[in-house]
Parts: sequence; C-alpha cells; structure tokens
Amino acid sequence: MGKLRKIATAVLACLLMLTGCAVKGENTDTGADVQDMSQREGRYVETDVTPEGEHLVALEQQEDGTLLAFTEGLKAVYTSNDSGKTWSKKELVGGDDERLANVRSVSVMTDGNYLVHAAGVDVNANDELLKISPEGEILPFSVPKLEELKKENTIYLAQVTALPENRFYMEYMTGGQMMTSTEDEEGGGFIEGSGEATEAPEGESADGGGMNFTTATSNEDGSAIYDGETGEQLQKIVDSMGAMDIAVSGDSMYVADYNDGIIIRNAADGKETSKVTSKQAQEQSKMVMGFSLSSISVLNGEIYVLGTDGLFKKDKSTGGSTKMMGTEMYQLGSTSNYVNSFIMLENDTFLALVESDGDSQLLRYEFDSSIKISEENTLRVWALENNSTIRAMISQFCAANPDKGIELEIALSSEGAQTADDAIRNLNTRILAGDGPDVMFLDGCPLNSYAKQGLLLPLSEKVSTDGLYDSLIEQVKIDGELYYVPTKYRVPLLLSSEEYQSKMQTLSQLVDEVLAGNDQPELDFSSGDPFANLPADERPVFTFDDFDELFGLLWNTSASEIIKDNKIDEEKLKELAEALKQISDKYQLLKETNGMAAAVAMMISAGGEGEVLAGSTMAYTNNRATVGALVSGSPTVLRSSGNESTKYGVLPGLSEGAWVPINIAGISAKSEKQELAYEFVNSMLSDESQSAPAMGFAVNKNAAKVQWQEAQEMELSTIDGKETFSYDFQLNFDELVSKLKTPVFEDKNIENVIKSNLEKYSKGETELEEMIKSVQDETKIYLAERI
Amino acid sequence: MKKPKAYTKGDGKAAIFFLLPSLAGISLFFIFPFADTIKRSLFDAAGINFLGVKNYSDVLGNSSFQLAAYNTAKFIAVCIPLLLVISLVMALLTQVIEPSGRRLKTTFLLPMAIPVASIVILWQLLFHDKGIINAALMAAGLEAVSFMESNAAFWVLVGTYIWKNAGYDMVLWAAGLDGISVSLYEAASVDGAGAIRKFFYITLPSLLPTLGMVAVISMLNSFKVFRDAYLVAGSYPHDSIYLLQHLFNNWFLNMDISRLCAAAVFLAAALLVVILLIQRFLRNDD
Repeated sequence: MGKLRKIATAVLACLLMLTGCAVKGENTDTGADVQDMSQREGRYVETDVTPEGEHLVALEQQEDGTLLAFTEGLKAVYTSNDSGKTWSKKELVGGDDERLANVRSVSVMTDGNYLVHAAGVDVNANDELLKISPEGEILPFSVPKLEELKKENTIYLAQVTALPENRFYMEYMTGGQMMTSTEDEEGGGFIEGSGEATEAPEGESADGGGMNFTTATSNEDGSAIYDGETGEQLQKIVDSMGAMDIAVSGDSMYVADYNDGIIIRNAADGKETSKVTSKQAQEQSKMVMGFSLSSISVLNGEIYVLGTDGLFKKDKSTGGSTKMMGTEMYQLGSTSNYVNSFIMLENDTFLALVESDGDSQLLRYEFDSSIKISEENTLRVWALENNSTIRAMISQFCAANPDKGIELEIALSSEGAQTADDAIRNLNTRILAGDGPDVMFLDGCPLNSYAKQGLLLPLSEKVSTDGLYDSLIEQVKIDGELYYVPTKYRVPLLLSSEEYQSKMQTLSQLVDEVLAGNDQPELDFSSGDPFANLPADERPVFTFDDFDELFGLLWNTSASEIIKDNKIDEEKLKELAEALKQISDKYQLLKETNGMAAAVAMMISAGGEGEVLAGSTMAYTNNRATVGALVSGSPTVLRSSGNESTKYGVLPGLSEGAWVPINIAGISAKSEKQELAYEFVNSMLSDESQSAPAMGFAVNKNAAKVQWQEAQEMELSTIDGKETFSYDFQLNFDELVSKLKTPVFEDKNIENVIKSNLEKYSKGETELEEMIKSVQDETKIYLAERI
Repeated sequence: MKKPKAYTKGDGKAAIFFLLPSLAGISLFFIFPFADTIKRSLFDAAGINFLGVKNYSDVLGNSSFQLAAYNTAKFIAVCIPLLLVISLVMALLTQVIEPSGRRLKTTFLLPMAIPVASIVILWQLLFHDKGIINAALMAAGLEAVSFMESNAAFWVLVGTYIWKNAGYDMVLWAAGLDGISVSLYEAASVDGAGAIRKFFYITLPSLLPTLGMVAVISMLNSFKVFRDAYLVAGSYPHDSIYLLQHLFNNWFLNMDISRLCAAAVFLAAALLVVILLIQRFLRNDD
C-alpha cells in the first residue's frame, strides 16, 4: 500500500511538472511568434499620394525600381522614381477598350509589356488575360489552356503574376453548374457567387417559404507557370488554388496562402524551396467579401506582410513576425479598407494601394526616427466597436499632429467572447480606478448616466461648435451643458416623390397610405429575376424584408415618445402597436410562408457600421415599391438609392424629426490630458475631418456641403458601363436638419422587450391590453433602476 | 500567595504581531474599501460634489431597490430556517446510522463542489419551459409550469440554495453534535428520558452556540445564490428572484455608483443588525 502511494505521488508530481512545462512552452511559443517593434522611437509618416481625381487599380514596380500606378480602365499609368513621393502621368492608348473596364491586377513582364488580369463584366462573363504594350496597346495574346476551357466553361482568374524570363504564374478556376438551394426565411444576405445561372427547377419557388439561392461549383481549377510569349503551360504546380497574394523577388516567388503562411518557390520550375509558417500566419489571413486584407512584399530577401492590422516582417526561419507598424493612427487601419497591393521600399518606406467602398487611395509611409511621441502626447481613446469613421478621424488627427499619438482600444473584437455589458463593466471599473481612457466614443454606453454622474468633462467652453449645426448640438445638451458631442449622425428617411412626401407627414397618414395601396405581390421565384420591376400601378407603397425591418424603422422614429422620463407611455405604445399591426397585416410580414417579402438586404461597407439597404430601400430603388425608407447617414448611398424624382424627407413616426447621433465623443473627467483630449475632439469636428469619406452625415455645415457635392458628382458604375446622374441630388441638408428635433439614443434592452411583445401582438397571439401589461411588467424594473 | 498571570505583557505584543497580517488584510480588503463605499455614497460618482444623504433617500424611494430588498429579505427569511432544520435533521440521521452515516457526509457535500456553470445547465434542463420536469408533468396529464417566468422561480431558487448548502450546514451541525458529551445522554437514559426528551433537553440547548454560527454562515452564503440566478436568467429575471445583487450589478453597469454605494451601506447595516440580534439572542439564552 505504501509503495502504491509513493508511485501515485511520483506520477502526480510528474504530471504537475509536465503541465507546467506545457504551459511554459506554449507561452514561449506565442511570445516568439509576434514581436512588437511598433512602439519603437519614431513613427511612420503617412502621405496620401493618390493622383488627384484618379481611381487607381494596380500598383507595380519595374525591375529598375520604377514604380507604376495604373488608373481604372488602364487609361493612364503614373510613374515614380523617387520612392513614390511624386508621380508623373502617361496616357495609355487602350483605355477605351471595354475589356479593361474591370482590371484586377497588372504585372510587368520581362519584355516590358504589361500582363493584365481583367475581370468579366458580370458574373457569367470570362475573366480576361491580356498583354498590353507600355503604350497601352492591347497585343495579340492567348493562353491555349484557357482557350480550351472557355469553350465549355466560364473562366475566373484568381492570381496572375509576371515571373523572370518572361514567364508568368496564373491561378484559374472554371465556373461549373450552378447549385440551386432553398433557404428558410431566416436566410438572406449577400452571396458572392460565380458561374452560370440556371433557372430554378420547377416546384422550388417561394412556395416553401424560402428563397432560391444559386452558388457555383468549379469544374476545374489549378495553378501553373506559363510562357509569356506563347501562353503554353510550362509547369503545373498544384491542382487547387490557394494564393492570397504573391510577391516575386529575384528567382523566387513568395506565395502567401490563406491558412498556413508563405511558400517560397523557384520562379523557374515552381518547386517549393522553403516554407514560412507560424500560428500567426493564420490569424493574419483575414478575408472580407472574397478579398484578402493582407498583401505581401519582399525586399532584400525579407518578407513583409501588410494588412489593416499592421505591417509585419516575417522571420523566414521561425515563421514568427515582427510588428513594424500598428495601424490605429493611420487611414490604412480603417475597418472598411483592404490592401490591394503594397510595395516595400528602401529606408523603411512603403507604398500601399488601399481600397474601400469602391474608392482607392495610394498611401505612402516613411519612417521618421526623429519624431518622438511622448507619453504626455499620447491619448487613450476607447470605443465599444470597431468603426471606420472613428479610425478615419484618428488618422486625420495624427497626420496633422505627427508628434501626437493615439492608442485606440476597441472593446469588442470579432475574435473575443466579451459581451457589450462585459466591456462597459470593464470600462466602468477602469474609470473608477482612475485608469480610464481619455476620450470615449459613447455609442452603446450609458452616456446620460456618465454625464449626470460627473464622469464627463463639460465641452462647451473648450470645444468649438462654430460651424456645426447648432440645432443638433443644442439637442444633446444636458441642463444647458454639452458633455458629449455626436461627430456624425444618421436619420430615418423617407425616399419618395414630392406627392408622397406631403401625403405622409404623420404615422397615421403613413399607415393610411399603406392601407390604401396595393398588397405585397408574391415574388415569382420561377422567373429569372424574382425582383424584377413592377409596373407603377401594381406597386405597393412599401416593401419590407420582414417584421424586424418595419419595427426597426418605426421604433427609431417613435421610441422617444414611448419612453419618457423612464416610463412607458401606454397610449403612444398602443398607437405604435396598431400602426405596426396594420402594416404587417397588409403585407403579411408575419405570415409563416411569406417571410421574405423583398429578400434583398445589402450592407454597404465592410466596416460593421455600413448602411443596410434592406427590403424597403432596395424595392424602391428597383421599382418594386412606391416609397422607400431607411436609416441613413450616407449621401452617396441615398443618391444611388433614388432617382430623379426622389425627395428625401424625415420618416414620420410618433416622435417629431427623429435622428440618431453616432460616434458620440466624450472626455473623461479623470483624464490627465484634458487639453490634448479637447484638441482631438475639436479636430474631429473640423471641416477637414468631417469631410473625410466615412459613414454618417457631417455635423459640420461646410463638411455637409462637401458630402453633398460628392454625392452630386458621383458616378454610378453599372454592369453595362457607366452612368452619370444627370439631375440634382435633391437632399437639402439645411432643410433636413431644421426638421430634426429628437435625438434617439439606442437602448437595446427596451427595444428588444417591446419588439418581441409587438411581434406577438401583430401575430395575433396577444390582445392589445395584454401586450401593454406584458411590456410594463418586463420593463418596470429596468426603468425603475434609472429613476 | 500571588496568583500567576495567565498572560504576560510580552504575550500581548506577540499576539498583536501575529494578528498584524490578518488585520492588514482585513483593513486592505474590507475596512478601507468599505470606508470608500461610505464616502462615495455621500458624493457624486466623480467624487467631486458632496450630496449628503440624497443618495440614501433616492435609494429608499427607488421601487427597484424596494423590490430587490423585499425579495432578498424574503429569500433569507424562507431559506435560512428551512436550511437549518433540514441540515440538522440530516446531521442527526447521519449520527444515528453510524458508522455508514459518517461516510455519507462526504456525499452530501458534493453539491458544493459542482461548478455553478454546471448547476445552471442542470437547472435549465430541469426547469426550462420544455425541460424534464415539464415533460414529466405533461406526460402525467398535468399542465406545464413556466418555472422561470412565474413566481415558481422563487421556489426554484430556494430549492437550489438548500440543495447546495444542506450538506455543508450538516457538517457544521455534526461538529456541534460531536461536541456534546455522551455522558449527558447516558445519564438521561438512566433517568428514563426518551429520544425526544433527550433531543429537546440535551441536544438542542447544547447546539445553540453552533446555531448562531450556522445561521450567520448560511445567511452570508445565501447571497451567493445570485450567481445561479444571474447565469440562468440574466440581469433582469422574473420579479420574484430579482435580488439586491441584480440591482447592484445593473447600477454598476449604468455607472450609478453613488446610489449603488448607498444601497451597499444599507445592506451592510441590515446584515450587521441581524448578526447582532442573533448574537444577543444567543447570549440571552446563555
């Protein structure tokens, strides 16, 4: 027995030691994987070197070091011989060719010609591989393998890169048959498909209560090295595609894949010579809508990876990374961006071609070791969620103040399991402990409580509101003092003709119009386009995706009247409930088999704060409804959602002129850098910062004019080429702002309770009085806590 | 002859020396934070403006505080007596069925070793609208009960608390029972006393010091039941199980620190009064 005890003790001790070693080993490994050099003395200086008015589509470097930036449609190429500081333009002759309308990449071949990957004009068209002379002339060139495949399939190219000795590397995929599937009513969203569409089989229409989706399957895909002269395949590499980005240096090609890191291959025969892998490699390879956020470049044998999360230098032997630059202070870090391509240059300088929401920027970064950002000049900024607008404002401030830095802390990351409540609790603890941030973006936080509890600094004296819309600023004051300021705002809007704008001034008028109008037509999924236009006399007034969309719109315009002084106004709640039920019944939004009235919802922008074009807007834009509605802060989205007769009015509800403040900034009363914090807030409200492309209407009058002008001048790209709006954008900001009377601050707790009860009532599961009592019961504690 | 002193002057210094770490810990983690809580309850959240007793009057007039305080008091008033009786009965039974009863003690402690998260899963499996109990009720032809969305939630919480703490209290009672001299029972037997008389005239009076300790520990443990309630029903459970900790948690989230501190002072004062009353009752009984 004693012996057994000794053995058991020894085994236990060994297990404990092994556990300790394992934990230690894991930490050591993680620690070695990413080293942070981004905090070293000095900083990268960001310069936007985009040629004025140009939309760039590709960035390349010739063997002699000359940098090339190609414009949309390859109408021109800009060259630079001073590491991207200055650029000179050269017109190209082939720019009118429609095959060049959608250029994905340009690569410089050994013979000086350009190898161009041009995407097909629509999902069913072939991608093209073109060879273009330095003057822009399209040269005769074909790849036999692609020609052969084209006969029966649609070709998609994923990667095309020129290699030494006039060769090139290409990855292709062929679109096979379309798979048709039916999704439940919960489905929807945006699917990027490719391939040839086939008609939905009979009997698989909307009857099942769902929608048919089509996805492509690939018949054949592969990657190989080809001869740049004949197009003949020289060396097949693997049978599947996997490159996120490719860089070529000397005789080697560096293929970064989506999962495992970087494979280094001999550019002549494609054979793998070494592999750089790390755990971090997986984390860095993030994708948005099929595009990678990261790009690689090789300089003097060193591999660099650039993404929206930073610039990393890879260690070829260990696979570890050294973070050279964080992106919190730069435009690059905006959540809606992705890196199209980047080139690492000598002297710790690099160029990045960044795309966002259809726009492109050529950004140049040069490390300046003489810039010293002291701790006193570094501001700690906190936000609940990542947000491209906040990042744009931070980069603007840092660009204008190179000696000042900002540490941006995003409380909710996509990888984290922390809830919003956890994040706010954590923030509260830090504020009370005196370790809080200096500036906070208060969206989603109990901002009025913060202000009333004296946790926010008064802004009136030190934040200039000259040039801002006074009426909006006045509405967010508490007892005459400004404790937080919305840097942008959104408005629930009605898109319609003049006639409907005047007919729908109140919620009851809106309901009357809906009831008097046509019913919601069934979507015909057996036709080629279930969302095809309807003749004007067959259109319903609205079309909603579902009950959620309808509720979301009307809640925004009514919430402040329903909850007043932390009490539920029963009469107002009844009014909203009856309006919702009437509209819902009219369009059968809660009917089990018809949950997808419009079935098209798109999120514009990848930043998580984008504009949701749900059923009502999409239906209006596509002439399936007479009127559209959305909560919008984007003039360009509004412009492209409307037509020449579209007027933009405030969506009627129980509240008068509801508007939604966003990116609400406040300064912590415990901040030790109050002057710097005031400076930052002033910067965010400046003409320049407010004019920068971002989500949300500007609260600055001059910037609002710039936003309007941009929308006025916008061109709408279509699959058929380009279409220019020939009429005035009929949104008048001054007039709109004069109608905004009620700021709406999001309160999901109350909203969710009311929504679930109103849904039950609209379904007929509860009576009106019963619903009111249920809402009162479910909200009374929550509201009482706030009295 | 001079009676020798039980303790010398040096002993007192040594005692203080040995008590210092404990005092430092209590000061650091209890006395100073509590003093800070009292201070915060008299100021605004930023600690700049003195508000006097305004926060206290606000708290007393707040209906959510009234509900939470009532529920908490009701929970303690129902649970503690039930728990004390049940655990005492268990302790007596384990003593009676010696020696196997002693081994059973360990088994009764198992609920305390189960992580809260696991208990919550069990709770949901049992008491969900479509959980095991409702399935059984419906199988028996009875109506299902919405345990978590009705007043039944309170009794579910009471049951959970008793199930979890009965074993622990039983061990405390058993320790008290072990301290009663066997000779007392033997003498009573010689005098012809039966089991019931022995219980009321020997066991119960002898257990009174233990009763005070078990009652105070049980009361303090009753506040831990919030974890279970929170994990199952979130920040806003059914009215019947909305406890003071729910309110504290929500006020903290809403950064209503001043009122939170005032309510915490009220709670501490109420607990102090209850504990003093228990002590006084036991002292009088001595």
